[in-house]
Amino acid sequence: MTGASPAAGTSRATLRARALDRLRFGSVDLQKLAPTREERLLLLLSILIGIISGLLVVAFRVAIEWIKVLLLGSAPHPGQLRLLYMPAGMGLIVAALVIFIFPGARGSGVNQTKAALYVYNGYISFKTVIGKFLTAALALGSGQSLGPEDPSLQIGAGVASVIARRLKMSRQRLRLFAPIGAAAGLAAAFNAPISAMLFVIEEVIGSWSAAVLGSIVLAAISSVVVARLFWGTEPMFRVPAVELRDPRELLAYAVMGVIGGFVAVIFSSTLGYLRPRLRNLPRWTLFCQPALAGLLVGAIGYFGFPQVMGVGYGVIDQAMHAQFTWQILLALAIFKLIATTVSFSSGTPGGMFAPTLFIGAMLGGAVGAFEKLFFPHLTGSIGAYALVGMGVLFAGFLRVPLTSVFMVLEVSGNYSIILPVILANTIAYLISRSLQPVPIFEVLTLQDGLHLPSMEEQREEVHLHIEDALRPVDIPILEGADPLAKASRAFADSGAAALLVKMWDNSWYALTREELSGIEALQNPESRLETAVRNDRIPDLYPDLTLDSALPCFARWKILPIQNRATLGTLEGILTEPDVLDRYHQDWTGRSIK
Amino acid sequence: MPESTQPLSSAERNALRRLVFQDAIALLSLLLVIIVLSVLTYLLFHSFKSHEIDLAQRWKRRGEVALQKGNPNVAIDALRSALAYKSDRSTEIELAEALANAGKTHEAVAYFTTLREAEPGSGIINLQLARLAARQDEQAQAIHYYQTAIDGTWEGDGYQRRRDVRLELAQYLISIHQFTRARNQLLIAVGNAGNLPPILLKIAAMLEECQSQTDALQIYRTLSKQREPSWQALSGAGRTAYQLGEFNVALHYLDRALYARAFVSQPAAVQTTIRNMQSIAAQILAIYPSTDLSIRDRALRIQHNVTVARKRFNSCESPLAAAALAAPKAPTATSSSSLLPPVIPANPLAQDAQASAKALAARWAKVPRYPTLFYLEQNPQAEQTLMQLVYDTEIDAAKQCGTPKGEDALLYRIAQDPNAVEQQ
Repeated sequence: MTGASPAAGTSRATLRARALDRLRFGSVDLQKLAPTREERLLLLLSILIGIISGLLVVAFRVAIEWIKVLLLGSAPHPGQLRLLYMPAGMGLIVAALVIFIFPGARGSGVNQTKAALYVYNGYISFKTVIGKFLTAALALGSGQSLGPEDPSLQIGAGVASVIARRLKMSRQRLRLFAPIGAAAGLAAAFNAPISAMLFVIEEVIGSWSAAVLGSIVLAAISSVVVARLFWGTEPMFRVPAVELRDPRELLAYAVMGVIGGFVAVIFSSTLGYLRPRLRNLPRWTLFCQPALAGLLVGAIGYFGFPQVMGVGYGVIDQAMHAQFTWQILLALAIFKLIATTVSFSSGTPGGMFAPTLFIGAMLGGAVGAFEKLFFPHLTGSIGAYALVGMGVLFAGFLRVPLTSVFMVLEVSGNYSIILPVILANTIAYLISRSLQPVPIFEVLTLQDGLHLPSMEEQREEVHLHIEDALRPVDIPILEGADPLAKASRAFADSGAAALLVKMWDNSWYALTREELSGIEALQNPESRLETAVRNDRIPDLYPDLTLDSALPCFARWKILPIQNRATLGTLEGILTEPDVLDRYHQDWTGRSIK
Repeated sequence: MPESTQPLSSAERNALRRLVFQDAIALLSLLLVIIVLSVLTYLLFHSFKSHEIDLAQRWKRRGEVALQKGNPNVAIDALRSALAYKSDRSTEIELAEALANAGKTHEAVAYFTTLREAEPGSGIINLQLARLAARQDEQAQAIHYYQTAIDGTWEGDGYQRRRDVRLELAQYLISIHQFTRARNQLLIAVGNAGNLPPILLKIAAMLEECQSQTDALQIYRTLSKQREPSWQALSGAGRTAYQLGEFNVALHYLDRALYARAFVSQPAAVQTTIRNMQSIAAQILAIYPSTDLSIRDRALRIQHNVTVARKRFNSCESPLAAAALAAPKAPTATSSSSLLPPVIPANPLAQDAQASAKALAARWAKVPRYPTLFYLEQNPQAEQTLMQLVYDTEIDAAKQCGTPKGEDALLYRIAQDPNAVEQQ
């Protein structure tokens, strides 16, 4: 994976050896010397990572704006020749930089960060950070239709990785730092800490991990504080409060969700189709692809729609303030989709967040303007529809439903829109995943030859519980006060391999025939079971616990009693190792058939 | 730092010291990096921000100039560029205005509507929406937006802006012939106008447009009482008094207007109109049997007017009255034969004219054919009756025989409201 690898050319074995070396400090084991050092440093470093990421992201965004003004002029408009040659020329430079100097800077940054986390033990080189900053700034500033958020995420993750390595963190800790930095970078780019945290949890880590959550929060907040010192506390987009006077108006937003869902599928399908084909072209074409992409994007700008060039936040704001007719908005959505697909597929560094928001906002604005025109009694403003449209495409295309809702709320600072957003996003998400089972990030990693865990699958994985393998109590149950002789009789009568003994304190013991034979050889048959058996007891197990949690118990016990949570001592059933394995087998077979 | 309960070896102690030192150095270097990065980012950010403000101002200026020069399409591009660098409410409003001026009414409406959602009480936004609604002939919407603009918030002199908007609303109401509502707005505007002659003159002119000459006259007269009244006030007072039939007042103001210095600078058509009105008012007052006249003079005028009116009656109404008398009676049941009478389509208008002519003839028959001066001087009641007959004759004759001329025309004017003629 040339493009996705943060340490291209470095073998996995070398990285592992390097990581193991870091665990040692000379000949002394750091873990032994200062076992809580890393834990303590983690929180402090999270804040420092957040601050540095915030500063870098601010500088990155300003650099993009400066380059844009210098290359495309202060107000690009159709018919300017520079719109054609600047993106194309800069495409050549960016391609050369990515191929010869910064191979790790290729792509958006999200998958590269995931790869660093899952494959390279959290390793992202400093060169990649520099490369991402430089190449993405040049590409976006020259008008390539990509966004700064994903690169910001990678820059943040890279900063965290560099700092963690500098402080000789253990391999285990090193892996935690990438998501911390990623959250910081994304939070600063979006000026939205909650969305950044959720995105990292939804798409990078894949689960709520208490070990890293605190650090992610600290890093995200620190970076946003820094970003707000520069950009102010105003939300990214200013949209008037949405007043949902008539619940029937939700239907209009539902329509938006349906349209957004289909467009998300078209977007991801186009990207999934074009990208591998461009990558499979002869190697020399990789030099020209960003330039040709730039030329195409420039041509779109030259012949009428310069709004599709670059990041496009200003245009999103204009759309929210109803500065375009629905026809123009629709045209912008279509051309942005084409431009982004080409820019991204060409391997130009840059993200897909901003284009997704752009297309969503234009689409939402178009739907809103159209509905306002033909159904004037609807009270929702065009800005509200554009805002919902942003969330819709975010949910449908990037497949991060939770993040999409909070992202809309945070970038607008408008919580009154939550109901339409949830409705439309859910519809778009469901349509997208039913028509396109593999999310776009997974498609891209597979195209890069990586097999990273699917976050969507992880999120939705159904865990088996004890109740799924439970069987009725079909073995004898004795009291702890019963004599050994009674146990012998019970074995003889039932023919069971084991029986359960309930002790005075409602704890349980599983007595096997072999164990009883051994005890009987040494003790009087009238001895009480509770004194005759060993002192250990079966851990309390309940039907709602995961099946995995019962597995370790089978090393000691053949049968596990499963108790009722409300009345301890009352059995819901029993669990045996073969039952558990059978259940896992059934589950695996079922998935294979699917 | 070490949590281990076992004592550390000397090598471990050294390693621990080294570790603490290296961590401290690493953290300090991180702080240093933060400081350096902060300074660099600050410089980069502020250099761009100042450039951004500069660009925003430059594009805004270009947009405003283009808007003033009547190039709304250029203004749209420029103002959009300005907004891309700095969001500013006044620029947004100018952009919406440019959109409206460029004929992009739908875009302008949508833009203003969005602005209004953010600021529902903004006077200027509501005013622009009102203008756009008026342009799209959405009367109810336009009036609603005008009203909201009047009640809305304004920057600067809100009092004056609200009054201007009210006058604009009144003008719009006049244009859609809602005169009563327009008059109401104008009367409120009078209360808000203070003592500003130009505004009062404008209001009075608009009151004339919405056919409220009485109110207009009142304003003109108030203005005419000022030291060095404007020519517009004098001529307006004369004109409206003339239209109201208050010829005494009209003559007073028309005389003043005619002899004012500003009269010569008026367009020829206006001068002619004023002269004609003044002349007619003077003639009317010359034949009007004013109660202020001596008994003889009054009797003379009445006698003359009766002669004029009788002549008019004889030439116009007499044939009608004769026709009415000669018309066959409606067939009755007793006189009907077995044959059906011929079907003659009845003309109700002609029948009415004949009936009124017949009634007038009856009234003329009851009064002396040539009332003497003595008779008139002795019978004030007869004077009244005769003059009423004169007026009724002129009105009826105008209906039957068209616009009167000469003295008949003068009498006809008096007949519209005889009591108004001498009103002060």
